[in-house]
Amino acid sequence: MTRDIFSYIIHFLLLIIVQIVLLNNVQFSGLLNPYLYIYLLIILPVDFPPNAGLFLAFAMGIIIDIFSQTLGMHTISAVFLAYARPYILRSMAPRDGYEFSRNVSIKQMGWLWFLTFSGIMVFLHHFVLFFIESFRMSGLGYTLLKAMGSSLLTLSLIVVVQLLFTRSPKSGLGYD
Amino acid sequence: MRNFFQFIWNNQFTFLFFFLEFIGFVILTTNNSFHNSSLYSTSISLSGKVANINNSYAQYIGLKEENTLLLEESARLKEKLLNSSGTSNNNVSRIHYKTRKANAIKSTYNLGNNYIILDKGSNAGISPQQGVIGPEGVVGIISHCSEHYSKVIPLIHSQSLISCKLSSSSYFGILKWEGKDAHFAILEDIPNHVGIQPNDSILTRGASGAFPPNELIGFAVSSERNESTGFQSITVKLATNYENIDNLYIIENEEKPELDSLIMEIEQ
Repeated sequence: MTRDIFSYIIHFLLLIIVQIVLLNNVQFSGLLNPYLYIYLLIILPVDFPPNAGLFLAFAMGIIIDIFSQTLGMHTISAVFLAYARPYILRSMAPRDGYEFSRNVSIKQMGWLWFLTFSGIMVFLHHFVLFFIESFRMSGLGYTLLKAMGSSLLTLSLIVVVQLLFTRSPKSGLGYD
Repeated sequence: MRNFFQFIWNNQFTFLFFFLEFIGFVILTTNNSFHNSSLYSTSISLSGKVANINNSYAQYIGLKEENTLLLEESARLKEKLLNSSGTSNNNVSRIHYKTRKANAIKSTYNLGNNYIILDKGSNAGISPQQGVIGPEGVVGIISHCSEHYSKVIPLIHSQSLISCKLSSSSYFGILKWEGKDAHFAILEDIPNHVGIQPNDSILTRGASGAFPPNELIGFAVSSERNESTGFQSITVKLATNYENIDNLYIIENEEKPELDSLIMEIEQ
């Protein structure tokens, strides 16, 4: 458990640094902005305490906000995502329930489940984010388009990170 | 009363969610109206510092392109100098403008409300409401300063309003940005009967004192007449390319305070 907490702290710091230093500077044609930092909210264990999830999202959102000059926007969308997460998980539960205390990952959950789950999560977050950003000026269609484009980009980054950085599920075989 | 607390306790997840979202919205809204809050200026200098490190690498890559732009600009300045030496002194403006050079260390062009961060702040004599001009044309107006950094509201910001005029007929209007394409803005309030040629240049009017008159903003592309209001809206191709912003000049009008106090007096 201590090792898990340590690994989440490392994830937390690394994702924030990557988001601020690298991804905030990626601007393809004005439509695509990847926001990889929500990766942490996706891979949390299924039984992660929901209240702690809210606080985690709040902390992450506000740090990203401070460093990218968008005060409030990421805080609101990340907290919203953390709120929606348990409900999405519940609606996607397999027939005999989840095996608890496991990270959400491709290896644990399978490609189809993981892609559907992270797809829904990423799109939800991006839509709320772009909606709050454009609030008073541009139409909903443009916001949707922007959210979809950026979601695809973030989703592919998430898959890349999953394939590169997750270890083989030794713990599942009882070696740990 | 006990039932009430029991209810909150049972739904703590939802209440915590609303509480945190409430904080989020408070942060969002306070920073739109009270820009000088301390959190905001910490945010400027923190993101400034990060952007500064990023920028020091990016500058080397853009060096060649930057050089050609500078050469172009110096050529234009030389041309201006040659032209003005022949004319009489009556046309030369009495107002003295001070220019300061600054580098953009961070700029965005794909958000609804874009911004640019400069590497100089109030310590270098920069203050809000001063105009910012790039090698290609007008860029925007300073909105906040911390000690070593300042923030620019560019023309491509939903709240940017710049008074400008047509070079061909000196009718004037207000330039607005629609929030989509960083290359185009809309010039409004020009009467229908004014003929617009494509590539007519749009210049600053110098009405607010932030910019000198006759600085290039962009070129007219097309115009759409609105018969019911009697005014046309003109699509303007902006001269500044916001995807590539580095060297900027900040214009200080030494008589702006005097001008502002006079305008205040009239409006009261």
